[in-house]
Amino acid sequence: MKFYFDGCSFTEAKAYLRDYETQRFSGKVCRHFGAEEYNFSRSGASNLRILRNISVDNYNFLDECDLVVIQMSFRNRTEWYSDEKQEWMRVNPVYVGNPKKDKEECHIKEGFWHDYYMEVYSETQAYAYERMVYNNIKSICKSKSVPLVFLSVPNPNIDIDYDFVIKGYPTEFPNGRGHINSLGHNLLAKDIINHIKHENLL
Amino acid sequence: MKIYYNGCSNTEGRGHLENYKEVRWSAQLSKSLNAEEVNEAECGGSNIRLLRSITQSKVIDDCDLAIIQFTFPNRTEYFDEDNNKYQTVICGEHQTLPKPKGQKNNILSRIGKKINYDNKIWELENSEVKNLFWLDYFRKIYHEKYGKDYESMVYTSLKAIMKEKCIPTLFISCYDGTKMNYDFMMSRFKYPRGDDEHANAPAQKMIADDLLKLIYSRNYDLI
Repeated sequence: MKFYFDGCSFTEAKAYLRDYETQRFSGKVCRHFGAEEYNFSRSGASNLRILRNISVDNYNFLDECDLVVIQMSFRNRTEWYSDEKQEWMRVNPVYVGNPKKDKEECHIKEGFWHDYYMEVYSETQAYAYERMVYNNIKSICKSKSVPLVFLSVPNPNIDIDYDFVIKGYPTEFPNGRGHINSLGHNLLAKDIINHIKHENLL
Repeated sequence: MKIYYNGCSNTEGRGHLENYKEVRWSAQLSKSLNAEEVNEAECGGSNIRLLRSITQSKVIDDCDLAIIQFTFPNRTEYFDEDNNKYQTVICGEHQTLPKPKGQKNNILSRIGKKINYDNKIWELENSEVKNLFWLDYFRKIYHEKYGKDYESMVYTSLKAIMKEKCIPTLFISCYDGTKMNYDFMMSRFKYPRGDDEHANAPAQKMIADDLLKLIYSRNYDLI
């Protein structure tokens, strides 16, 4: 069996978990079911990146997969392609809310993407694109007859019925701040495993 | 029977066709099939707008057939909070202002400032700030690979969506440089163009006739 995972740092876990490939929830879910793990997540990833990955780069590979687990990211992120670096660049204000409203919270302090967040970014578009990505990934998986588990980071005011929101699990810092820790990954993996069994997804 | 259409000016027809709601190819094709035309195309529309607007469409589910027209991959869109609507972004239209020499790449620092460039004084209005932003976008950010991959992303996503909706769909394009395999091309080399580069009135009839043949060949007339 092959399981497909995509998301941001919550799924990659490279930056904050020791031995992250063993400790992260995707690894634990795969070990439980004896599946091979294909994890395309990257720290700082946007929802558009996740849709591009599944609909362009990995579209044919989906035919080989037995399960897809998508963890949606913060809706204020985006991406662009750098000619100089010949790679996709992730644009991340490192803030979960509306950077246009809470200007001081935006970690991008100058340049093109600062202008983007101050002048062009809107919550209306961010919500619309989150729903667009969600609906499209659902349709793609349905068209390929691959079962799908949908997770989301704890965005403010979530209005989509995800299977799980990564909230309430133990985190790196007190009061739920930061990423989920090793125990949090354990508990999330357990919840996903139970969901897969309960919904007969395999 | 209802036929759903979406795309850019090549499907909306506004701006370059007189009496466009009757002359455009979508109206003529619908008439030929005795169908109701549901046209959500918009001048200047981008491929990402196609994906968003179809995801948000409240009328598409009632349609029996869809024709979705892809456009030039370098276009995009943004939601304009001042006017409470999505705005189209077209390469070229946002390059009317010069980039001030020696200015830091930060539009905010230029708001309300007079800029001396090429012996002219440029005083930026709020609307021009956005123009400058998109000028920067096309100069520094946009890349052909971005356009190509996003075209592919929109195409794959829409194919899956239309399959799920069980609506037979023709995917067509006005962009002759595409590498995608569309059902039909509104090629500039086949259909006569007016001065503004859009298919002219006689070409609208030609496109409608050719699409009608394609629909019959696909047996979509049985729906």
